[in-house]
Amino acid sequence: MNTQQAGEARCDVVHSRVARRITVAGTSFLLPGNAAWDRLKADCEVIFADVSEWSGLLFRHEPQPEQGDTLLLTVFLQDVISPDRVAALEAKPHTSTEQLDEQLEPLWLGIDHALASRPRGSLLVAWCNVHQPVAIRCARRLPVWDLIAARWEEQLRQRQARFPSLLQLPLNRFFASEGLDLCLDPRNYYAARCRLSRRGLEVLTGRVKEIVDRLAVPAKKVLALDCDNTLWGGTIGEDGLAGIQLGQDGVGAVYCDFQRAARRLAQSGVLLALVSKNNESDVWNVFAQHPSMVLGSSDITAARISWQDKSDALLAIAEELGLAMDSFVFWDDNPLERESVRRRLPDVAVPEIPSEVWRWPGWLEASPLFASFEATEEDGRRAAMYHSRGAFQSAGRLFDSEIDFLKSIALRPSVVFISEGTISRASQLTAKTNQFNLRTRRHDPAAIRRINADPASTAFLVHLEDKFGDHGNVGLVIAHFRHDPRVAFLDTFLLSCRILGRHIEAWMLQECVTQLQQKGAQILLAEFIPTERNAVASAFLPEHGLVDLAQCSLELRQAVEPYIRECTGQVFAARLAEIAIPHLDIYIQ
Amino acid sequence: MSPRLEDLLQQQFPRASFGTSDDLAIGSFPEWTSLAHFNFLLLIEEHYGVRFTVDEMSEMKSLREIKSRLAAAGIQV
Repeated sequence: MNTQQAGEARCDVVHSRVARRITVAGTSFLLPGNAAWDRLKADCEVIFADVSEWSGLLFRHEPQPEQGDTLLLTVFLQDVISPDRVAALEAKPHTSTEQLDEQLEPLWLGIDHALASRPRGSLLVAWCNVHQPVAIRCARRLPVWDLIAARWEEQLRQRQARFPSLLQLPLNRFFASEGLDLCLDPRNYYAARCRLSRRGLEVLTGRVKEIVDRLAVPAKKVLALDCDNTLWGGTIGEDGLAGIQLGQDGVGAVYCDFQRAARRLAQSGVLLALVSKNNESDVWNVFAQHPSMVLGSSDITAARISWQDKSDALLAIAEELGLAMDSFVFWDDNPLERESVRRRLPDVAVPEIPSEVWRWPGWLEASPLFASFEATEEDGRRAAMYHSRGAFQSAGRLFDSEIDFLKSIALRPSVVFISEGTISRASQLTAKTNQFNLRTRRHDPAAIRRINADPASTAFLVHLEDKFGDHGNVGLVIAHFRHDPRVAFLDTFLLSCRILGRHIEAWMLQECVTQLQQKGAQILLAEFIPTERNAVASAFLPEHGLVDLAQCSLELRQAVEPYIRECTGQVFAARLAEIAIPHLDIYIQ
Repeated sequence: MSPRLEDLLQQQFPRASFGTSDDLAIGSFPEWTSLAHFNFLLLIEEHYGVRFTVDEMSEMKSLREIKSRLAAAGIQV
């Protein structure tokens, strides 16, 4: 299996839960109806614009895209820039940046208009330079087509800094691993104005699917690793410390590189867990004693090393970390173990790993399973945060009274108003938080920016520190009073699952009430939309002073009426002055 | 074993219903447009390991013509 084939296998374990629409436009024909598009059609509505429409589509105003909609614009530079003009530039000894920009100018008009006029939805620009280089011409200077492609990509990146809804897919990099000649097909171009081969179309749709899936479903959080024949070659229980394969030579070096790849994932925020059928002391002895071990015991956030069933082990780790099973990727060399976990825990991603062990390090690094669009400060500190979660749980067992315990751990929550630097984190929280989340509304960065700038909204993050560490920004509250300045509607109220159990949600509600009162609101309307995952939050509203709307006074029901159209779940309301939060003395203000 | 040409036609047009006749051609049912025909020819190329020229792609309109071209390449379907 090559890397690209592995990529397809990986796609199969990423599922979408959100109805999405993709509008496909291209400077060349993209063969609607070709089976290569089927993978996208499986969980997206795919609409093809006419090939002559691609430019007009960027200027079109109606209908406004919904959040979650994607406009896929596939650009072949040779379709939009005259080869004759490029040949003229090639004939000159030097090409200036201005000359390059002149070639690209017509493209930016439409793209800039689309970026400015589409407040919702994503614009994904997949692009390709089909120029075939000549070695002799490349030997002394870069071909002009490559200069144009580099300038185009640079300017796309600059726009991405301003427009988070702009995404790009530089196709040449992905065609390279397949072979550019196999992905482009001049015959198709002359027969049907399609520059791509069937294989090229599959690469395009496969990579687009990875991106639009990630827009809807967050990256995996935990890599659960087997040990024998996974972190090292051989079986520690039989081969002993001196007999396992791990080191500088041969296959031993591959296992070291695989551990390095896992450690790099951990440094980017992925939690590493061990799920091994072994004597526990044997495994930790390898971690402590083997001179070639790359991973240390401190890199491992949770472990179940015993002779128990691996699905049970994964369930126990999930409970310990407070994470759902669909946050997990299970890596085991043994196909029987993989199949067993697939059957018992269908939400766990169990990739069909390459049969050749020397492909493992590259496979793990190229996997989209853990890939995010951008890293936040919290990602790098996640392992430490989960370690502190374990310490928190252990310490709690020592106290009879929960309140006494919480008072003892110096909870220091604070409000962090959203700024450019925290928009990504706020959006990430809406994308990733499934358990303590009242409405499970996803907001992309553009939406967060819009809400934050709206004077009829209140939005803030909640930062938490306690004796177990600095947990970062762990909560998000968004309320708006668009229909009536006296009535605030709680659009988003969520708390990261790793700090549950500290009653921070109560402090968040109190803070929300205070902020809303400062803005002149008098009534809070809140909604709980049940999902498969948020039962933990189901009783929060009635337990904190909000009353089922059916039980509220007629006056209150009439006051909130304009907002009810937006509600599909259980609705609660209360006068802000009547919301009383108990035990606020457990927090250090 | 190679799939029958009719099986590939069904794969390309999963919702279409048609009989078995070599006279089946572009336009035999509404879904079989010229674009869909191009995708059908790409599917045939992939399955039988053949490569059509631009002219062949525009000339082969019916199952009979496609079978004839495949037979010339030593492929019986």
